[in-house]
Amino acid sequence: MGQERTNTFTKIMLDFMFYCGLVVLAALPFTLKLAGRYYSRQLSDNFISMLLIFAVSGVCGLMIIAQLRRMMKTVIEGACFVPDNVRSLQVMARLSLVIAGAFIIKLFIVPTPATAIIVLVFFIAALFSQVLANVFAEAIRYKEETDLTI
Amino acid sequence: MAIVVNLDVVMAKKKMGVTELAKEVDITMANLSILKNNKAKAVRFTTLDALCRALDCQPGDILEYVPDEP
Repeated sequence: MGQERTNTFTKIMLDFMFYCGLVVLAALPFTLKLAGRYYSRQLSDNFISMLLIFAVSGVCGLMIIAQLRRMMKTVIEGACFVPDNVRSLQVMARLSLVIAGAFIIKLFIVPTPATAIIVLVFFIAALFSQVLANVFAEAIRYKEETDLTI
Repeated sequence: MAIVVNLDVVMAKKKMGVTELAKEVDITMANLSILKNNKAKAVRFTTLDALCRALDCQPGDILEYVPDEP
């Protein structure tokens, strides 16, 4: 029962984040202009490059959430030990690396401590996802072997 | 695979059906089907023991080693 509630909550949160992310991404040119005007002039001075970096990161972020939604669907259906989930984790690792790369570029344009932290966080996220993908692949292999032991 | 399960041959010899054998060995029809169709990756000694008892045969009658072609 408790596990079911956690699954439902996670699914709702992922759906919420996915659709909010779409809105945030669509509104990015406008919000970036506002941020340049009221938060930091550096953002409006490098508007195009900032827009590109945030758009690429935003798309990658949305794709990560889309993969998580796919994985969560398999968990709810009770069949999560499938090769598709290994691929999802590998895709997430690569997308995290892309975000880390985008923010490394940002470090050279608008260097801030937060940017450096984001690079580190997404690099760790990439490693985390890759390790998890490897563990998952092994788990699937064990499960298949157990399922086919009569 | 190098190990071939000749369960269907032994079953035919002993004139025993899948449903009857599954009931005697106490495994599901799905698992018996996996075994019969050579899809199994491993067989427990307990299953083999039950199969041999039900079919009144030796493990060698059920399992056969066929070398892979190079």
